[in-house]
Amino acid sequence: MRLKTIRTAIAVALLGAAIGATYLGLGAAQATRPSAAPFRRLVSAPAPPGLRDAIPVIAKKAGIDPAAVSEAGVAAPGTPYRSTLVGTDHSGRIWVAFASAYSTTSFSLASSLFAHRPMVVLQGTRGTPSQLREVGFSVVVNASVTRVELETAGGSTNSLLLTRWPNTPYASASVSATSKEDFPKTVRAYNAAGRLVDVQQVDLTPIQP
Amino acid sequence: MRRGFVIVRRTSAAQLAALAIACTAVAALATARPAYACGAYWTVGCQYYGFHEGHSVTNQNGNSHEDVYTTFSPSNVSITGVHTTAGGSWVDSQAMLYGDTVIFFGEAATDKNGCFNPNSQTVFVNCRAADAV
Repeated sequence: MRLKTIRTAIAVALLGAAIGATYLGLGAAQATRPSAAPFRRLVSAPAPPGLRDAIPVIAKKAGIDPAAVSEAGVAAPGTPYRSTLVGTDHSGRIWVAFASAYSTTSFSLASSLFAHRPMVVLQGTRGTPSQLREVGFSVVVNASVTRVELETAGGSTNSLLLTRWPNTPYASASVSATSKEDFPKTVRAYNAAGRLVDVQQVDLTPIQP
Repeated sequence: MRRGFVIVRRTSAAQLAALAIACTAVAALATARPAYACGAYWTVGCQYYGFHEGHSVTNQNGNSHEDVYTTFSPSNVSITGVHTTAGGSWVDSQAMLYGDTVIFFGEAATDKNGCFNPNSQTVFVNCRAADAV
């Protein structure tokens, strides 16, 4: 009887330890990005200086007030800067640009992005003709997509935390990686029913212009 | 009876051939690439780019911010704007949608910019590189 009590106590202790370890492990994993990146004005975000210089140029071409440009779905802290930039013109139309620490695209009308598919993935890469050193991308989805999953070159899979753009049907996220196994490889979009609605591959071939 | 059957088969084959030619012609017209106005504006070039083919020109005026503007066909793909060293080695790239401009920051005076076709098909590309800021 006493032996049984000791065994039960050990079993309970082991179970508790296992649950605790699982909980702590999960907590540690989430500490890198506990929630989606904020949707915030670029002027109050730690954006690269080169990007700040370029914003007035690309914003004015799209009819957007440079001071009203927002940053959405910035890459995780500790990784190279990459984000989507969102602005609204005087007609209320939503525009988006794709920015990194080294470059930015011009603004495109968000509504024009989804003529062919519900998810847009635009990648950026750095390196030498023989070796990739950095791979990143930004993804923008429309309302038909509720979850985006990333598979890395190393084979791990995780869901991206999408930043919703207030008062619009769009959301975005960005990823940057400098180690080979973390390079993004495949991006999958799922609808609310869990059905796969789009798949896009990230090109991991070094460029030889 | 047999002869008649042969005649019918020959006629069908001819009709099928004519139909195939007609369908090909219609498909070619439907997918015809739009006319492109090539000229000095396209400082990098205005030409077909094969798979993994790129072209670039040297930084304009040595500015640190350079932009690349491109239009291309088919337009439902993306083209990559590239920043390279003076020797032509790739440094940085950013995928671009049709009609986009990409601005590269922090360039050396001798660096180059241009366009690159990452698609597995040949794409007609108009590409312009110029001072951005």
